[in-house]
Amino acid sequence: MDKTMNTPVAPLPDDYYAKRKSRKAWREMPYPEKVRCVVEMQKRVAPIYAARGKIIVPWQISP
Amino acid sequence: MKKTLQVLNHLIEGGVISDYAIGGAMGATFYLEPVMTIDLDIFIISLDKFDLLPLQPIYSALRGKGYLPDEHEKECINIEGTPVQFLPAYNELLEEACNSAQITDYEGTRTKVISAEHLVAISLQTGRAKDRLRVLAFRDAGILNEKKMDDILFRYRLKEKWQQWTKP
Repeated sequence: MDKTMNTPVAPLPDDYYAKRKSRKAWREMPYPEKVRCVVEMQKRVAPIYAARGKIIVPWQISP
Repeated sequence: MKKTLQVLNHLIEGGVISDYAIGGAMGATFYLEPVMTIDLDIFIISLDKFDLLPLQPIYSALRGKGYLPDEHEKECINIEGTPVQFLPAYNELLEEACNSAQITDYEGTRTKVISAEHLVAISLQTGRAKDRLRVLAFRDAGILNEKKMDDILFRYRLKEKWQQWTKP
């Protein structure tokens, strides 16, 4: 039998679980909140796109 | 976006379209982490299935209300500050996706979002690099209903592609 089969697996670092937990939290966010995040991303990437000659106008959403 | 969805609902009430559902990146965002996108993809079911120009009635109705093509996203109509790309449900999978879309409430406004399993199937069918990332994001999130997913993959002959795209 392959000895490695019985070798205990080293626990994953806490960061791995923290990241997984935070991704879950993002997924479970209400949809309107997620839309606000998308608009925030649009605002942040707009100058980068503009530098490449593409204009992005962030969506108008209710506050 | 609430006002945008209200305008879309008026298209149904006004008999311009039979139904619509949110797809694309904003459809995926409903189930997953928010992802960057520029437009809102709306899949529509026309009243006349055999209409050769299924988007024409939508564009006419929206133009009548003052909604014109987006200045920067030319293939979109700017509806209340959101560039909306209308896509006809041009095959059986898309029709099924629209018809079985999940009814939800967006800040008091009724709307429909394509199911996670159908979004995955559409991504597999579309086949771009970003579709592949979307399929993996859905799989990794562990939110897909295995039975429903299997059924869709089997009926639309997408099982092989699913296996290719998701193999480790």
